[in-house]
Amino acid sequence: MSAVEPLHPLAGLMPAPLPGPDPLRLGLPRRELVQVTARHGADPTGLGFALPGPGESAETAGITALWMQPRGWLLSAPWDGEGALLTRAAPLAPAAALVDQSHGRCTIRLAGAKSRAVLAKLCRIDLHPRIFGPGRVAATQVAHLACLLHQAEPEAFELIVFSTLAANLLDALASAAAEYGYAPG
Amino acid sequence: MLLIRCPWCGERPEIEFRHAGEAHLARPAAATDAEWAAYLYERANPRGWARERWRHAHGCGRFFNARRHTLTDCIAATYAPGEEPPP
Repeated sequence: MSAVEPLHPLAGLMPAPLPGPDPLRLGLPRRELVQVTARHGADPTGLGFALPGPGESAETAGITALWMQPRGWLLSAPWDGEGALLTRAAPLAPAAALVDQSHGRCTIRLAGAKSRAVLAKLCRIDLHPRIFGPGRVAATQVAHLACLLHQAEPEAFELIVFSTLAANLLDALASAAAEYGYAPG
Repeated sequence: MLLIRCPWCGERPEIEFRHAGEAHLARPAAATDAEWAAYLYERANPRGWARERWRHAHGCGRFFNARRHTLTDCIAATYAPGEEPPP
């Protein structure tokens, strides 16, 4: 018997769709997350790509590395079974501490033409394309919750938050998106 | 909204930061009780330019130093720990 695939912490909490003029998509992608913290004086390599610099992300072979803090990154990959990303990240282990955060944090995806306008209500950093943009990452507060904000595509953001706070963030996103409408997806 | 420049993250809103006391306090290697008490408790608390530790608490989590005017709240410079303070 195969293992039961864990649910997203927000499964069942997605608000009912709200029709609107330019609806946003609120998604709950199931991701594996591994926190990488470089050891003193060591340079983590071996994933096949260089870990990104401040405020940037890098992606190769389905693994996205997000800069979190000096010498600290978060790896994100689509769910592929318990511990799969930790196994794939093993080449980093001699130079970095690896912690599986797949259950500690979760990802909320906000997509649509108005996604930047919605985030502008909840978050104080400048998301204008001339400052931010696809591939950029910011550890900041969204709706007063600590959040890793990643612009995955020109009109899509992924917000990585502590799972215990995620329901509040989803609620805040839905409220902020109400004037445009939203639908799961 | 006041923007503070984190040496790693760049300019960020002030609500992400926490003040963390006077900067550049050197722990004495050997001290009398009075000198030790001064190191622990006595602070310059200037009216004017001060060098302070700040922490990007809701961002990268790192401590850094800032040169701030205590009357105007103007932050003239921020710099990473271990760096020479700007003039």
